[in-house]
Amino acid sequence: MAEQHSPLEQFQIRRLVPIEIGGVDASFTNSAVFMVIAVALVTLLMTYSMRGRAMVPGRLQSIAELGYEFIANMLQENVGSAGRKYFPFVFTLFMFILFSNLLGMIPYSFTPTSHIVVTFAMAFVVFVGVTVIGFARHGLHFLGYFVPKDVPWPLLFLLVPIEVLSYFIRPVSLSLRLFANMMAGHTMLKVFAGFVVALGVLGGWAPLAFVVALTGLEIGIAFLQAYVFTILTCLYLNDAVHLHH
Amino acid sequence: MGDPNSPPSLGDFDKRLRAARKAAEPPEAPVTRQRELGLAYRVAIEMVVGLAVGAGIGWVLDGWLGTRPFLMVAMLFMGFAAGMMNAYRTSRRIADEAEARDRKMRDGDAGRDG
Repeated sequence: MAEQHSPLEQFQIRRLVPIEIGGVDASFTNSAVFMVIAVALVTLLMTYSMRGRAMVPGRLQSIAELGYEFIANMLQENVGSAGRKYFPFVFTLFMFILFSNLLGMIPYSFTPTSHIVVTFAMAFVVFVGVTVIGFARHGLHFLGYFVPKDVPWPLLFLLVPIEVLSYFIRPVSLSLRLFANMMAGHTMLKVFAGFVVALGVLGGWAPLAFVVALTGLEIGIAFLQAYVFTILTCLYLNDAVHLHH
Repeated sequence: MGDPNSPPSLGDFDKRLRAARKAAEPPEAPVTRQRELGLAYRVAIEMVVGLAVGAGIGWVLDGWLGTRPFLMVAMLFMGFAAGMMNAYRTSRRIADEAEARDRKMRDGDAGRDG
């Protein structure tokens, strides 16, 4: 498969079906393939497992119900009942990130979430969506969100810009966290896997053991980062819905 | 009660199920190093990103207004402050969550005793 063994080779984007729309390169890439697979798997899991609608769930139905309850509880705890409306979006976000992360754990696969374009696009949608929700629910009062309470007025000239800036930082930190975790983890895996080959039969066992441990850790991180992305989305949603920090 | 054929009441079953669940549960999920590391990372990234975003916005504004380097320097500091504030909020939230977990655990213990 690979003549050159760069640990970064796994992140390379390949055009599978070159498409160009109005000068914009909209090719169907290997990244797109894995995103489609992730969406298809989530859809399959959700529809196939729930087709029985059994009172006592089987294994697959349990997975679907577990996921549903997990996100429903998260929304309820962090946003309250006003967050119910946004459940489909948050649930989709969580499942998509989770499946993208987990798909990346399969050897020779591609991890869409290891590219900042993908994570930033999601974070940007969250950012714009939350801002629109804030303005739609509170009108211009939403701007009051940027004015800290109980502060002497001369300080406001300094604090309001800082608040605004910290609001604009959110999509960047949100996307960077997921992207950096996925990229660093996958690079590390490949680097240590490279050591196994380099050290040969005699010395390769130590890095091999490390790679095994790292793989377990990476699966944990796949879940954790999907969770972190989703819970931060919930917290931002809460800020927009309830207007407090 | 005495009739062995009659099913046990649901309330009783619920009670027993809850007791069994509690017994099977580990005392408290130990806060692993990995988790702590993740939390530290979450806070650190806010600060770094704040600095970078501040500098970036300043740089773009400088290009527009022709005031190179001043706005970038000013925005660098603003970005640092904003990043600090985000980091502070994140850590406060983490502390709140930990406190809530502690309280829940204590309540759980009290419930088991009572």
